[in-house]
Amino acid sequence: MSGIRTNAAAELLGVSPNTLRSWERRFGYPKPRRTSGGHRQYDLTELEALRRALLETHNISSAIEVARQRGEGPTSAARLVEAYDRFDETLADRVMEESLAVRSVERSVEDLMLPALEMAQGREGREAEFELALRWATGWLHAARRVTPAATRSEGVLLFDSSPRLDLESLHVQALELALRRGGFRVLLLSMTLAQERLSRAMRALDPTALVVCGSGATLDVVGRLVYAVRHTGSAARVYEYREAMPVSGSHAIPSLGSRPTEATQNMKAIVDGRAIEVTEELAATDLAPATPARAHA
Amino acid sequence: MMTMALADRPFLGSVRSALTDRIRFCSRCGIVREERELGFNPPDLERVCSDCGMGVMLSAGRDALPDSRMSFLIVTEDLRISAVSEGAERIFGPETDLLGKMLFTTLTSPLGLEELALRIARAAGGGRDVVLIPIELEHGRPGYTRLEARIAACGPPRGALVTIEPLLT
Repeated sequence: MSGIRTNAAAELLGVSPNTLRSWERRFGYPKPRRTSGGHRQYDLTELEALRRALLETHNISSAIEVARQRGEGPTSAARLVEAYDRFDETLADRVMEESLAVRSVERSVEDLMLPALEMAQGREGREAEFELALRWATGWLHAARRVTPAATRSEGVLLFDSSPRLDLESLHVQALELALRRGGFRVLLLSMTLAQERLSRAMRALDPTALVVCGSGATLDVVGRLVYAVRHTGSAARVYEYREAMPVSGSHAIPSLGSRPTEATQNMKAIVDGRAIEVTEELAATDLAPATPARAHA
Repeated sequence: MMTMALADRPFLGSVRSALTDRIRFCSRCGIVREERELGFNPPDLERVCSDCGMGVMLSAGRDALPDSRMSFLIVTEDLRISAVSEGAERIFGPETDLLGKMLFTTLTSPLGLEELALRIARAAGGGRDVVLIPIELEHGRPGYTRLEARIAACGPPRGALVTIEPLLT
């Protein structure tokens, strides 16, 4: 970490050394290290983040709050939220590009995009910004999906999204789809509300090894009918859930792939490779994963 | 302060033409400076108030803030409070309780919220007009019953400067 002394730091920000020290006392930021001689040594990254934040805010405490969030890394979720709040898709693209310089696609999605969407969700009066965020993220994930190399594994994964509309969970599902594709799987993402008779051609084409229940709108009834329909096609694919998408838990629960795209992808690889995974294998006990259509119907 | 000096000493009137129509003010202590005094510096070098060190220096039209250390709020285009002057704290309460809140949790207008919102949104969007509008405090404090707001554009970044003044009748 590069550091500079108090006078230079103060000059960089255009303030007096006393002001810099008073911010440290009052806000705890910027937080200098101490040299062996006891002198303050300020982190250049923090100072630069603060200098930029001061130009973008109307008061010191907000600037410090913004800088503190940005100081967590070269790109942070807060910067992406800032782009959403400005309705600036170009800036959002740039933030992701910066992230891709230091992180993988998976990490950029998990550490930046999804946390930013979570931060942007549920803010009073910011519904338009959140919708823009969802639509932009959907576009970004689709673009990333288009440049994913061809599948390297023979196994197929069928994702069933129960989200009733474009929402945060549906973005998690799209992120999972991207991660699985980049993990080499053949993947198909379909709506859980799809009529049973529409499934057979998709099932024949993909011949999935696993079915994954995702999204925020699953009900027992819908999942039951879905599994029945899948079994009706003769498929023995195992059923999993993602991010607690199943409306039941306990002894009726089906195994979970986890709650993050990379975790789920690792678990799926472990499953198809016959290795142990950190999920509860209760499939045999569940009423929702019958061996035959007749039992499922019952 | 330069603006007062000009008003008090008409013989300095010839200086007025050399000054810009804009002032800079601290978003916290409210001190006002002539824009021209700072003209030779890049804005970010004079971004923080050198008097109090707790506010950022913003630019506004001369009519937007008639005096130093007045009571004002700065409001963003989406009507959230983004700065509270020390003077405004005495009327509205601590800055920490107000930042990020919707303006209407703090004040309203007898002319209607729509009118107040429209004026503020226009100013925060960069409108050049300075308007006066009567206001009422949502949680009125004793002694602050008849007030009006002077609403004007300020920035950067863009915002509405809502200066609170006694209502003159």
